[in-house]
Amino acid sequence: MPMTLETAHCFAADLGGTKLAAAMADGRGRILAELTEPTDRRGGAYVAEQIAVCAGKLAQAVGIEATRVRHVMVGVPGAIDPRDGRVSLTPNIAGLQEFDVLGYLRGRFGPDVLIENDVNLAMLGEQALGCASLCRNAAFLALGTGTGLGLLIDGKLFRGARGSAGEIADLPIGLDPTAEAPAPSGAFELEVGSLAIVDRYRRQGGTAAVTVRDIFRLLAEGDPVAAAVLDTTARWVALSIATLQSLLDLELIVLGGSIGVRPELYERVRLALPALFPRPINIAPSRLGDRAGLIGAVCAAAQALRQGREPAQRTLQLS
Amino acid sequence: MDRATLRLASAHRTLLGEIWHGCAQNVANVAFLALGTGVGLGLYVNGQLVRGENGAAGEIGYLPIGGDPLQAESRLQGCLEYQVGATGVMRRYREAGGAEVDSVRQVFERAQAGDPLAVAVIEETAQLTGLAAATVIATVDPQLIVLGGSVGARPDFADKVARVLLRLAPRPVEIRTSTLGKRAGVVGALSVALRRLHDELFGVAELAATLPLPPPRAP
Repeated sequence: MPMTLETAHCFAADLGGTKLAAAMADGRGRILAELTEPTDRRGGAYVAEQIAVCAGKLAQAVGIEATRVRHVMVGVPGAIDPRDGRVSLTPNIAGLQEFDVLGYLRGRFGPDVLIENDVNLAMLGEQALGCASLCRNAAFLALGTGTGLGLLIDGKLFRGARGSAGEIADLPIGLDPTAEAPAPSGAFELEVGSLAIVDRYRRQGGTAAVTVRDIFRLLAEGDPVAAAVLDTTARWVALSIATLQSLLDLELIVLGGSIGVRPELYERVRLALPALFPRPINIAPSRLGDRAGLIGAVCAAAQALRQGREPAQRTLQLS
Repeated sequence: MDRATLRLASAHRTLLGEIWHGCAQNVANVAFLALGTGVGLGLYVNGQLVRGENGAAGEIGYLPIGGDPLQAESRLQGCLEYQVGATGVMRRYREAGGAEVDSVRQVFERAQAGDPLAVAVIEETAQLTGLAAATVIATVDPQLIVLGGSVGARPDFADKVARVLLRLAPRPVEIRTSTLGKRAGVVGALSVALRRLHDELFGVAELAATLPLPPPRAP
């Protein structure tokens, strides 16, 4: 059978600290089957194997030979060095830094495998099918267990000199520059990550919350501590947005991630911004929600398939 | 040919000068941090100047650093610039009880002469500049940071900023001081004009890349 955009397939996965989402799509980027399962806690090689097994399951569900999968795109929660594909800054998955995920997947699927930062893919997803269509200068700010940032500059993903652009867990806002000790790593995440939010709630005298979800529920029940904690969190997020805007002058900043999309937080951020920056800043909640990364990965894989060039020459750029 | 003009923010022009003839040649990702009368940033990313949606990329005077971003002066002048711009440095020296000065240069001279108030004000300025640079490193991951402007390019000041970055920067980054000094801006503007002239005379419309500029040559 000849390879056409209908018979060639691509596989996309979005690897998170708690769950792995995967999809099989045709060459036009239409999703034919999708699945989500908990991430293998053992990490490293087990997670890479789990991704390959998901591809097999989805191929079976779609009714194709796994060998028909021509292009693979995997989103990972970390920085990827553009020189060798090595992953770093992945505190939420064990053993991913030491294991050569890209090499393993290329061994299974052939040379047309790419890995990309998960939030970068979420940015591409929002650009392709979400709230950032036609945007050339935009950011996707992901707030959840951790924090991340995908940047679109002049229409292209921007990864930085060593693949760590947008690793804003380390944004030093709120740091005391006079302190003698080296700054703690992940200063921003220590203020707005989910652990920090729950911790802040407890320190302010709240007792009933174990997760951020609990805090949102308590807010709905009228808990004043929950409201104060979200006000503080929103202020930190607004400061980070003002920082991004002063550096990059963006057209749109998309808020995503399990916490970033919550309207209770989003509205507070929106209200805090005008006082922090002299010009209006355009923000929007993610339209694709927790599927933004997976959809971005599908779009990128389908585009790579259509371009069909050597991986080394390929740039991740949506047409 | 019409006299096409292109307005570029000062830090953007200066950055292009350093990339063409100065200390940032052949570097694909550069951040140029200018500190003098005001404060500004030029970003050169994957071989392209980042201008932003409205040409306002790098307006780091408005970074919420160094003070309360909600107070009136911060909104008017920018939170960071209110502290580290020339008038900010002189104001802080005065507020600390220092003698009347007309320029930041005088504050540096007093610091060299051993005035502890001037030393403290300059140290604080370096800390805030370092914090701004750490913000740039976390966000855009440059290969090189060039410090420029009448204050930023002073080697004694740049050393202080580099020391602050050892503590605050999430990742180590090479730091250099501007080699073109005051000429960087005009050299950068020239590079833009020359590139456009080349493109108009010899450019091929379908080619995505612009023609390279001639290499630097000693006058």
